[in-house]
Amino acid sequence: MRLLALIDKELRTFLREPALVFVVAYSLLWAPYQAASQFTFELNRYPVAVYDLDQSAQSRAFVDRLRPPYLNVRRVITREREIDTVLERDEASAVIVIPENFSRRLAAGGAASVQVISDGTYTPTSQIAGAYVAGIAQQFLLARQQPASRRGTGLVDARVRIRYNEALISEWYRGLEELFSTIMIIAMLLPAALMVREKEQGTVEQLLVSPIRPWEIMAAKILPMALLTVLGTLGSLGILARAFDMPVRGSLALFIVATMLVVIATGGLGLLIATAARTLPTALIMAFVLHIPISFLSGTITPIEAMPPAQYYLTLLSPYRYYLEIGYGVVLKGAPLSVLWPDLAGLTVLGAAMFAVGAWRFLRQFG
Amino acid sequence: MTDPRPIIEVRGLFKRYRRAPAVDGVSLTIASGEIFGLLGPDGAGKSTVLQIAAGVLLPDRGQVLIDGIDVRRDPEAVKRRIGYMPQGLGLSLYDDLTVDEHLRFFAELRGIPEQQFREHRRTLLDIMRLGPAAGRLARHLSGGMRQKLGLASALIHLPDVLLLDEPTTGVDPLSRRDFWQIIDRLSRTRGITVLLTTPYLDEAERCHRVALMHRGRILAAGSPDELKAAATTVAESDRVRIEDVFVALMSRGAGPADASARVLPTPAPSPAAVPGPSLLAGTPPEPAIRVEALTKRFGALTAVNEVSFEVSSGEIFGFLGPNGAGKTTTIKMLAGLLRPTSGRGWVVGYDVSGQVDAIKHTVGYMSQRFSLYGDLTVRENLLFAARIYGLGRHQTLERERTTVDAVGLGEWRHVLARDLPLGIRQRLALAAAIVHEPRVLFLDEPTAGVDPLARSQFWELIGALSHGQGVTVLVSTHYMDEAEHCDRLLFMHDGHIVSIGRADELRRRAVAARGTVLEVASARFREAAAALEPIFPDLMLVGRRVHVFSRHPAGDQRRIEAALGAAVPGSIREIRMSMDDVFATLIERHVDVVPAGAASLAAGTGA
Amino acid sequence: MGSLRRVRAVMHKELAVLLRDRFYLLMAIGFPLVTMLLMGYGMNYDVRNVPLGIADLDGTADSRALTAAFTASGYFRLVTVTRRPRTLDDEMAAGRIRAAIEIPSGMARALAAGRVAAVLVAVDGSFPLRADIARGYAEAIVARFNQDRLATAVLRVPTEAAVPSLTVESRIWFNPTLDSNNFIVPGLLVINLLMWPPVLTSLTVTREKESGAILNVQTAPIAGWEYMLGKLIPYAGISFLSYWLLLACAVGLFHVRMLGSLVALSLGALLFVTATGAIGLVISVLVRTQVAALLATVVVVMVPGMEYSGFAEPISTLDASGRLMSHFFPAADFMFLARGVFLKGFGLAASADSLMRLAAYAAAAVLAATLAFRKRRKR
Repeated sequence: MRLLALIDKELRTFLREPALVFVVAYSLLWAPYQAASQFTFELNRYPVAVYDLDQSAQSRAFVDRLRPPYLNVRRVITREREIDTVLERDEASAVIVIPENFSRRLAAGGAASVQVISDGTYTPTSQIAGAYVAGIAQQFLLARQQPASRRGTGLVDARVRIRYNEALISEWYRGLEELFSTIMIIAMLLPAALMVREKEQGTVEQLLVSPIRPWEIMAAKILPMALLTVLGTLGSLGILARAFDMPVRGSLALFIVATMLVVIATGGLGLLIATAARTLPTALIMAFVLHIPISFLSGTITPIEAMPPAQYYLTLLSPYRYYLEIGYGVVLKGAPLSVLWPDLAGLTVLGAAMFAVGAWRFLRQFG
Repeated sequence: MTDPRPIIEVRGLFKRYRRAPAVDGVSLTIASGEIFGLLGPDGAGKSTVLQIAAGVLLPDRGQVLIDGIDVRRDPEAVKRRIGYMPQGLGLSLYDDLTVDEHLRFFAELRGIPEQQFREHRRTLLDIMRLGPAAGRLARHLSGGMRQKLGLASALIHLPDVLLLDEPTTGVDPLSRRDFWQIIDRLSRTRGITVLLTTPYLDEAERCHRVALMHRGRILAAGSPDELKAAATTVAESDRVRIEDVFVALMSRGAGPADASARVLPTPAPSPAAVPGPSLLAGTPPEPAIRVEALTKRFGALTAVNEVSFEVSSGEIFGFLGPNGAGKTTTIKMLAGLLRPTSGRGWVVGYDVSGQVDAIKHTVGYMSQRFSLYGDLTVRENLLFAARIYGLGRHQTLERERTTVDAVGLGEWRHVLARDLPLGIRQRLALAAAIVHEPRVLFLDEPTAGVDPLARSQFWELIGALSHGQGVTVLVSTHYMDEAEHCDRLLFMHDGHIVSIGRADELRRRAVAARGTVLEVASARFREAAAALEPIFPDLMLVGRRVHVFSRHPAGDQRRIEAALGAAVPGSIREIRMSMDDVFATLIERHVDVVPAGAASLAAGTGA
Repeated sequence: MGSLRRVRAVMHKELAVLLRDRFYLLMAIGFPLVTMLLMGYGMNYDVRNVPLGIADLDGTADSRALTAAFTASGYFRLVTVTRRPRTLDDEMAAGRIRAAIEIPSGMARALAAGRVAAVLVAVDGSFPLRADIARGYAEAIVARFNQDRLATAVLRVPTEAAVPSLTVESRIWFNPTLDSNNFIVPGLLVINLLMWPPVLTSLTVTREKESGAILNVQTAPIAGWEYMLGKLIPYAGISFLSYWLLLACAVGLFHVRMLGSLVALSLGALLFVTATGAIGLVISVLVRTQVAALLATVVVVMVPGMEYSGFAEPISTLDASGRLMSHFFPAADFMFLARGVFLKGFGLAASADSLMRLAAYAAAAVLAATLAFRKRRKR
């Protein structure tokens, strides 16, 4: 009864506080959609410049193949000096150089070559042009070659299939990444903000002087806000699914359970903030700063397998690591519980520990 | 001397915020050298007038002229001539700057040459007695010192006109007395004009002229005596307080908006300090509250130091003292919010250290700041309060209804708490504290900033609860005049009990310690003060009157007459010592008695 | 003269507050450093050691050779070997492997018969950029495997004319070792100077509004621009100090070499923190509360600043509208300058354009702040 009264009050006061409603609506509902749609990184039209020294029919045929959905020739270069300026000024991310002897060598059955000069400043994308051109070169060669020239040599044909996101629609990834990382901030921020606000307004005294138990205050901060966060998450998932045709392949129930678990666990961190911060701005900044290491230990930004060993082992201690596996697993991969149960177990154990720490501090301060 | 030339002229000022008009047609004329008080409760529009005069807020209509300059047209020229001290007891100071750094900052903002700055600094530190604290960070200053630093900062360029927004709110009586002496000295020696606002109506007496403001309008303006004379048909202006004048004017001009405040269910007992009936009748042997050597330390600071007292059942027990005296800490310990460091206490027989749960069910608590949910309506707040005390559904609804009726909140029931006028909010806070029918009620500064009418209604409610229903009430306040509403009083200062007793007993003690007060009224009050100062070094100029303490009134009266001679005609009479003076006197005596507290007190007042 | 004193008065006050308030100091110096360290160590865009699962249904020398071609490349790390393709599906769904190869039984036989043998390669598409790069690797490894087979075949029959081949020489400029730090750390320098200065400045004026201390300034004969400059200089100054610390971190801790002009970079940093600090001031002047200031800073400065800064992907890979948007945020210019100075060896001449634009942003932002500040309120 008392707990219900508290929860009722939390929901009412939350809904009448425009700043908090804005934060939740903006970050849960709008930000993932915006992150997915606004930024248009053209993976399929990688910008390159071409410097064709050969100027032959063969070389032109080759250049013809440099086109979307792989590459996009933004510039044609006629002097060597321009290679420098194009790359320095970031007018294109790679320059493809076709040497003078290109057609001659090919005709002679010799070893022809093309050069790909990439801007190494952006390490993640700098290899893309090279990889694309290598693939294009093989196809160019195979198309020219008579089957006879293989002379009975058996070859392997690698049929590469991208799974879960066949068309490599980056909106799906960016939307989910933003959503998962937003859940962390919101789940941490909401209970913290509501508690700090009670401190600021002095209403916490009114609660403490009544027979309410501190754990009831705590539960009333966590439970309704967790519910709200989960609802917002589902809404956001719905928006992403609708706007970008993103499939939700697995069990929504499993996703909801996992989200609920992680939100409650993160609420423990929110309780920690609530004990440390005295004003709302401080709480906001604390949540923001805390969020940085958490996301680095989760795998939203860097996949776990790409992490250096020390960091990799640290992720084993982060509930988010398990949550993200479940998140991507359920939404994009359609993975069932039978596959994801180890992650669910890890999430439960670590989440409980994280929550316990926050609850312990909270009860010590307000108990 | 007061120069009839007007230095501040306010003409037909209007200012409207989003909903209500804040200033609704205000006109004033203030003569050079005058100390002018703008009196009224929170939200009356006082600060708005001051901010418009200071050139930081644009009026909708009307104009303010300072020294003949239109503030609207040339605010910067006006700013050179004025000093302005914002509201909030030095909230506008910078916690991380020292006293000296503040003075330097304000001096440089105003482009005062170094040489001149040094002179002003010395003068001001001297007047304010802040010299020893010059290197201290503002965050480590007491309330009184912050107030003085705020004043010094506003005065660094020694302006002709000083605008002070609630300079005395929340300041202890000693510092308040200091403050008025400083203002008086500035007015006497430099001929400075002071326009100040205050919610303490008793401070009217300190001003040459005052205007009473309510809901953006001026109810009346003039010298305190004129106002009293105008408001009362009986020419017994001595008994009449400005507060009564205000209440009379308010109820006369009350529109429908005041209807809410109209009736109260229970007739209140006379406000005079009659001991509560429970004291006289056969009272139960067990006191409602008993405290023995209760102590609370926060790190090195001892907030409450070995305090012992008893409160009888059904009594209204007043805690008086400045901010930081330890009132709130004591109340919090009794309400089960804080654990005592040492000592013991019982509330209705329950131990405050061990039986906190039982205490929580039996007491109601209204905290210093408004601490209800602004985002909930009156009804929602009360239902919430009832439910967290574990009342059942039926009982909750029932109690909400009866409490709303008892406190007179009927028509506000569905209004969000944050939209309530201050006086109504305080009533709501009281309602929330009594919704579970507690036997003991703790009220921590329940009336701060509330208008006099709402305040007197509030006290009637308290009286009804206590004397009508037998609820024990422990109430703290820094309005000394509210002492009269309490059955017994406890004066606290610096964590210690200064004195306990009925109001008249305490006044007798103070008179015994310091003598009675003689008031000298004279049209040429400044000359009178100058003439009397050699005989009575601790005399006070209170508005247009001079107050002196006298152990031998008859003899002193003759000495005064002799000193004034024929040159300065005036009348002399003995008056009742104000509660402020009672308190200040008892503190001073207490400081002599308890040397431990003396060091910090001296630091607190800069003595 | 008088102006100078007033600006200095505000500056001194701000500096004292800044240096004595531990939380502010933490935000100005501590948080940027922590962010730099965490992100510097925690962010990784290298696609190496992609966890791989293989279902070898053939079990021959040829299938083992193909497997070896993958594991020897360094791009893939063999995690699971199984005979059941279903196992790979589960492993990938659980996120334990990101790529899977299924070698059908009879591959060796098909190869021996001179036919084309299909091998199924599956790549987890949850992280599209990585999936794309992994796909490129897989294709290149198989192409290489085929080339080697052809070459051996040619060796076996030396009389035949040579088979023409086309090789792709990949050269990486500016960062030949493709060291991730060289990419991330200069970017982080920019991001930190984008985030924290406006957080600091957006709180300063609102804080005074909340406490009422703003009235001290409004009632004093000080011009709006004097107050704004007095506010901005200490915060821009401390952010510039923070820049030097971040720079020391980049060079000393992350071993990023700086090839270009230190003067150009530092000048750019100074202009950049002035611009971002001033934008924070604009926000601070326009809103009433600290919370609103923080939210506005995140929504107006941080989010778009990050998106259009060119931090993760080159501006050239944005579409036309994205490239246009990037011109409205100073972050893109400073990002270009910082990476240019660090990796491309920009001197003062090469940096001139960016510096000019940064100076224009800074001037515009400061102007906007002084114009927005009113000494007299309407309400």
